Amino acid sequence: MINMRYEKPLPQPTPISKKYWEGLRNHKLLLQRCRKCGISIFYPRKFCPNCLSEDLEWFEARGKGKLHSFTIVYSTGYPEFRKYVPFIIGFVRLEEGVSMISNIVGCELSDLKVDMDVEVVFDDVAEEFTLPKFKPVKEKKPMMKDIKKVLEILEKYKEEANVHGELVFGTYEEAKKWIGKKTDIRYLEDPIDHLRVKLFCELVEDGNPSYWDEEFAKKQWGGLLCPPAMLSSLALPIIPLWRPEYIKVSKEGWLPTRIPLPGITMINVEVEGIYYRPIRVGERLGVQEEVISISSEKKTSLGVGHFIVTLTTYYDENGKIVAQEKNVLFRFTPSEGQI
Amino acid sequence: MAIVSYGETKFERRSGKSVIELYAEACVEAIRKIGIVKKEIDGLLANPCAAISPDSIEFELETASKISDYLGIKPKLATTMETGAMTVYNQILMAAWAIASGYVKFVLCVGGGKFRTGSHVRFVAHPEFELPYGTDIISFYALPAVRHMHEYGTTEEQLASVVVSQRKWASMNPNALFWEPLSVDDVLKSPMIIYPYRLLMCSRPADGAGAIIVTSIDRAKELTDVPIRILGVGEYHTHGWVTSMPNLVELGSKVAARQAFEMSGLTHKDIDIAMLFDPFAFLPIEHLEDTGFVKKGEGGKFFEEGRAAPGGDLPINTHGGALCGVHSGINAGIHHVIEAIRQIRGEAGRRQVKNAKRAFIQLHGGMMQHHATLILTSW
Repeated sequence: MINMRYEKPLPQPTPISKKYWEGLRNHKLLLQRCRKCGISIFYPRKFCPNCLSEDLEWFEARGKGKLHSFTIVYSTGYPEFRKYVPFIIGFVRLEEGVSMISNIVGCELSDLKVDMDVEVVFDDVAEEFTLPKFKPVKEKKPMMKDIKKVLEILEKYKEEANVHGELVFGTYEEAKKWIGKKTDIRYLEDPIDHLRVKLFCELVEDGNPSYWDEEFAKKQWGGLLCPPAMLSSLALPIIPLWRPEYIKVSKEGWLPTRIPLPGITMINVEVEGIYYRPIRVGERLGVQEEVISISSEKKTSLGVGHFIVTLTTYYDENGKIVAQEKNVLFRFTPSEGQI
Repeated sequence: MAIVSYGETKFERRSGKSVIELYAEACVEAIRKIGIVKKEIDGLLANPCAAISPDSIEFELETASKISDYLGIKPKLATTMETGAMTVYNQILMAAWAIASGYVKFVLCVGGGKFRTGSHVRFVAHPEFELPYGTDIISFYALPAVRHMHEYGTTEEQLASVVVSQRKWASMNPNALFWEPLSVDDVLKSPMIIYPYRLLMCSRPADGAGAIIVTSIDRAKELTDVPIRILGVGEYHTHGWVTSMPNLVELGSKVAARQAFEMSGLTHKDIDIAMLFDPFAFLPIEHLEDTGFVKKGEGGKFFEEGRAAPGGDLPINTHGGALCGVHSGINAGIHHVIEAIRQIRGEAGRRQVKNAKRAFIQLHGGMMQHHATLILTSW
């Protein structure tokens, strides 16, 4: 039964498009793919618009894409839409290579940006119809309770937390002198071992055989690989609690901790990397860090502080660059309500 | 082939006339102007007419035969055809083919209608995949503009300057509905309708009609001192629904214009005036860029600097365009063609451009799916 309260136009599915609307009803965005030439197809058709083949299959789209363009409707000629103004219409380019027009929801008008990342949301507008709409992909910000938890843990394991180096305090003026500062290449104490790779993959439940199956990895890559996302954890210098005297270890902490700033804690915001070649278990990497920029004081929902951008460069034993990562972190003092 | 005569009605907000009455007026003016007897008209091409008002959309089909009936003409060729606002292009092309084959001698091409508002027209949106989201004509036309603003830095001020430029021309056209000169500020103060379009950046619909007569060059030379020669034509169709638009900031006008230029043997420098179809303020900017008159991204600046306005190096839409009240609905591009003819013949009154010998006309239809170029010149 159609919801009588829904006044806006509803589609009248055809035998071809029925499957699309059924998919939406189950909160799946289905597209067609041509089995002959491989292109993705939207809107649903009987024939491939590229090669006219009828051999089309349905598949579930990831529902992610970019807002290629948009418009904001303040005044409309369609009476059923009048009470909903202003509303947003977006032209979305999906990852699968097709475009869709729909409404953008869950977004302040002032936050609209061309090319922003969007993802599908399913709007069950009527008993029999669900419309695919899109909302901005929000940067993952820790929830309030998470912050509290993090601060609690920090307090509890203060000593352990300092294994990456103790925070150095100072003013923004002092901090600015650190922009451009580069560490020497520091070779890690040990080669990458499989136990650590397995532990990492276990935590993120990554079943890629390149990380687990020695036989497969040998055939494919000549040996087991280290997941790229694991590198940044390797780069964190660990100041050991104890070593025999004849083992020399650096007591220098992680570069971002050494920048003098007023913030009492820090949180990582984003890591973006380029990996020039696969990195294998057994390799011993060298790490070099560089301070790229330090922002002026910013107020965020977490508190007041400074964004620090650093560049980490990874070298192999021959001194060749194998990967680079840009890291953004926020060194801040939590605002009162947050603690 | 040549265009030998034209006729155009007054533009009015509410003429009270029927669409066929409007068409007949334009036809009779065109016939009288060259002094042929109506019996010699053996072809009549019209567009289906939508009498569009806020409460209703009434389609008038078979308009070609209804006009013939009204005028007492029994043509050998008569059909009602439609490619949106660029229908006049296909009429001229069909007329040219029919005349070249020797089948007919004089073809009347008629366009226009009664047009009050377009924002509630639903057939422009795909009923299953677009309409449920409230997409109307203005929102479809806004999408390329917003993308262009993002990619090339085109500004709202530049969109407004298109209107300012065309108002300057319209102020010298007694038939333009909106002729009061405006400033960029005035345009930017008008109410926002659909971002980035403010009220004054949208074309102003009206009741009106136009007619032109196409014949062979030899016959045209006998009848008039200023036959208009069709030097180049080109068209291109890229999609049927906006969802399928391959590129929001490069329209089919690019291919159409390239074809027409190749056929004409002319280059951009040879063009004296341009008519760029303008349902919304962004479109003249896009057409100017995609047809190669300026580099991509420089269209807005061109209008901002007054280069399309009176005294500028390329006068554009010298009648004021659809933006200033010369928009009669389906086939509204006929008024752009008629303005080019008027300019070339030296009959444009106060807004006459000196030595306007070669005109470039860029039309499009529907939701930017049809694109056509005409290059006209004096004999």
